[in-house]
Amino acid sequence: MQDEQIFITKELRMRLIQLEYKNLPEEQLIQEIERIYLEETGELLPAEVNVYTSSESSKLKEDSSGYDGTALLFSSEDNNIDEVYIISQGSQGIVDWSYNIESMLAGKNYSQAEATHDFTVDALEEFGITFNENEMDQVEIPVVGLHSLAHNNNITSYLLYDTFSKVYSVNGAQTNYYQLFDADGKFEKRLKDEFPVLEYDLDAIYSLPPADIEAIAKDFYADKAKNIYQDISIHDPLYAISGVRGFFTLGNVTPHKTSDNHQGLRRVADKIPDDAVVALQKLAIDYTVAKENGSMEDIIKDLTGVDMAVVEQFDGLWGSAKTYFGSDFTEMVPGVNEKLPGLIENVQLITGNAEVIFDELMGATYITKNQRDELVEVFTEIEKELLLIQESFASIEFNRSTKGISAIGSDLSNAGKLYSAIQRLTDLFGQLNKEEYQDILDMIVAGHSIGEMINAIGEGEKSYLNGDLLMAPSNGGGGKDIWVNISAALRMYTEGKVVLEERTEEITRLVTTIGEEVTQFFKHEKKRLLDKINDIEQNPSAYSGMVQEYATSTVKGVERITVYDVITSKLNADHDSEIRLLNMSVTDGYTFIEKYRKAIEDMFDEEAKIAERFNLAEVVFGD
Amino acid sequence: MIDTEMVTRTVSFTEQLLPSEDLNHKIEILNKHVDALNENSMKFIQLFYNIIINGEQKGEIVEAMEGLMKELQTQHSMYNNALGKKIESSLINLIQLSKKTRLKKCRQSTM
Amino acid sequence: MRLKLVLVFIAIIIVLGGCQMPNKNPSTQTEGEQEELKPADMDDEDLPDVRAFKDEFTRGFLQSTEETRPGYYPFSSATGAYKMDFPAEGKIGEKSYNIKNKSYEGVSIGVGNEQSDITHTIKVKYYNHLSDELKESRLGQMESNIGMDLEFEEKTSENQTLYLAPYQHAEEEYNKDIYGFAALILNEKKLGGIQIIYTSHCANNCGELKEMDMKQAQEWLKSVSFLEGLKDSDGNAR
Repeated sequence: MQDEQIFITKELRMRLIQLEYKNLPEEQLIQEIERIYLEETGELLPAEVNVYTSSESSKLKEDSSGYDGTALLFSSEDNNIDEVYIISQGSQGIVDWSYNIESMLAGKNYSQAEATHDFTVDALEEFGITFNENEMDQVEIPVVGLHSLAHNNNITSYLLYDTFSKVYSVNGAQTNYYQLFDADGKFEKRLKDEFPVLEYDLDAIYSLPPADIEAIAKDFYADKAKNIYQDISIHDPLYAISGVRGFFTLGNVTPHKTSDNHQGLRRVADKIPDDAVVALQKLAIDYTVAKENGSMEDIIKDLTGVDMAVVEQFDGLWGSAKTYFGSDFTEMVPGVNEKLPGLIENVQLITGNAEVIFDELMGATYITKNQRDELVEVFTEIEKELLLIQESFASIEFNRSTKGISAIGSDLSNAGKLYSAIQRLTDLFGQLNKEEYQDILDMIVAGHSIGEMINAIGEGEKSYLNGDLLMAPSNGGGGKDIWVNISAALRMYTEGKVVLEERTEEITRLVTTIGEEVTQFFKHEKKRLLDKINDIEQNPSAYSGMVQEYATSTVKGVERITVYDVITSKLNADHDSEIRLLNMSVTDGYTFIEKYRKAIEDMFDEEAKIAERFNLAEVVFGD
Repeated sequence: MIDTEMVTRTVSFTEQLLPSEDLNHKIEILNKHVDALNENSMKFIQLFYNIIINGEQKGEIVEAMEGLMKELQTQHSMYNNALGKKIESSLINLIQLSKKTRLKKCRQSTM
Repeated sequence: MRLKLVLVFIAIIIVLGGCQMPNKNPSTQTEGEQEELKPADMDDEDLPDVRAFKDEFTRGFLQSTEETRPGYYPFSSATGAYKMDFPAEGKIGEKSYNIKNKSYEGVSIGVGNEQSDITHTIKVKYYNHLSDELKESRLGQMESNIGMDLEFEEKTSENQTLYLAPYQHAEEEYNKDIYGFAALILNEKKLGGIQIIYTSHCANNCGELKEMDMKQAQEWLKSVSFLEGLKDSDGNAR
């Protein structure tokens, strides 16, 4: 099998991955792929593109794993090209995303990896490629997995089912050997051979020395690792948590420093106990998901199960009693029982390690001393309030179900406690919600972005801005630190002409309107006026009344009326000179586009193939 | 015999010959084209923005290109403005045509 | 004054309490109902002295302390999608156990102990979206999982279709004799399916034990059945 020929540079791959996240309609997606290829290589995409998405896949119609992917077939008989790329998005929404990270951290549920395989099989069938499902490694054309967050899915799918011939990823979520033990029967057997206890006690793997399992895993998957290529930013929070027990990095990995501000979080995370890292991560995710859903009230409900609206009814005697026995409270019970204990456990993992966590974050200059102190305090307070909520809630629930009426007295005080604890918890969450903390979170999350990464690999000659390609002029542009936005330049060249065409059309419309609204009207009015004048001059006596208005004595008769000064001759309703100017602006516009293109070309050497890019852009995107 | 003296006098006056007409709607229709052309100019000029991303020190080429840009911008606004003015003036004339064409002289016979 | 308020309050409570006290209350069950306590709610001394009940997590899935047949207890999936017989010496891997709403549930069971001649690992994964269309892909995945080509035999009954393939690993590959089967069961009444990989690891006396063991495994497979989409979901719909 030959190597792939289309998306062979990292820049191309990363831009393709970025593109997938935009969820463009098929036609636009193909156009964008052609544009990216042209911008990056200065050449036309040498193949036809076929698109197949997971939403079209009948096999995944009922899939509940949340898998979302796009398959691209590039084919050209003339150029001997036939290759498939599977871009896994991993997750459709933040909820699925959170679920993925959680199960990834816990090393379980690989249903998205299975869906990745299902989808790839479906796509290959759709593209009419012959293959044997049981021998995916024998597929004759390159099937390349591309992704960022979904690395875990693609790689797991690849390790388990040979889904791909190559896997590329940017800032990918790593593989987890606990997950592989669960998912890959072959690996499972290999481990059992070494540790027979796993045959009858599956949880025993968590007590085995992680270093031993990792070594076995790396050895076991060594052959496949050769086909895995990863670019990882040391600022990616996913990279930071990759030190958590269970994760291991497979393949040819190139680390990148994508920001000068910080050292990244990996060293911080490595110093914090694994379960606290997981707890932090889980809390951050749950909180983010809850925030997506809306107000602070919603956040509290999502995290704790406590419905503020119900608790607020504990205001005064009558309301309290009603709430106490009401069905609203009963309905709240299962949710609280489900959510609160886990939340408390996670918060306690954080407070139990608060000094380490926040000292390390401070040491890595992510937070200041003041913020460190505040965060330690806020989390301690949150724990306190959560315990209070749990306690008062449990006692209310217990009393309601066992003692009934007799316990109401003490329960009303519990209700009061519950009410005020919730109020204080709201304030505490509010403190975490402050902009300064949001900014830090945003900065951390930015470390995962492909944008930062793709800039880092440009090596001084290329850079990227909001998905646009920037190039440094070969001659420096005569100044320092000058970049040319090649994407924008090509847009200027192709779209500029479209805009000028629109201008010409608008001018034509204007001429028509002037004809209808001004010239015609003017002719019509002129005729009416002349008719009137004629009438006056022919029949002067009929206008004696009019003359009388201006005469000093009684008018007995009008001999003659002469109308002077026919204004019409002075009127200038013709717009010809303005129209000429406007038409000139169009001609000038075309000249200007060419001048500008020339100026940009002159900034680069011939090897940069800028002229080719302009020429081809016109062929592809011009009309 | 008492002769009735016929005196012929000439009186000059200005009178509106045609009824007034509201032409504002015509201005509106025409101004829509002016707006569209202005928008088109903006769209065109916008395409040239942000192609060159400057560092601290601009080079000659960049400055030359910026010069070109300014030229383009001025030109477009001149053309568009000229059109706008022309439309206005020609319509004002039109309005005058119907409203103010009043010049008239006549010969008047009085007793 | 205060007393009066309290009296009024109590009166309100009585009125409200009378009509709004929740009817369903676990601790006010009648004695008859109490006999049907789930193993999870029973005292340790009332439970059979087998591994499945000693493990608290596993116990949560078991429906009764009455055996379904010798050596097995009734297991019901947390999704409510299927039931099966659970081996007395089995223990569910708590950390690998995973459930996502009603759409997915993965249960891995380890059976046996250090002294066992034969130990078992049974992996049962339920998916609510499996259909005939995904069959090939999933059978292929199971082949990949086991690492060999398999011949699946199809058996259709009224409620479900079973694809079953026994396998045997070459003895020289591992320290033990490893064999078992892969199965895919598709629900014929609605969407949904179960993938099972049953692995036996035989250390001693394999020659005489193996045949019996495989027969037992296939017997066990018959106990796996869907609860959803069946009319007689609480009967013995085997």
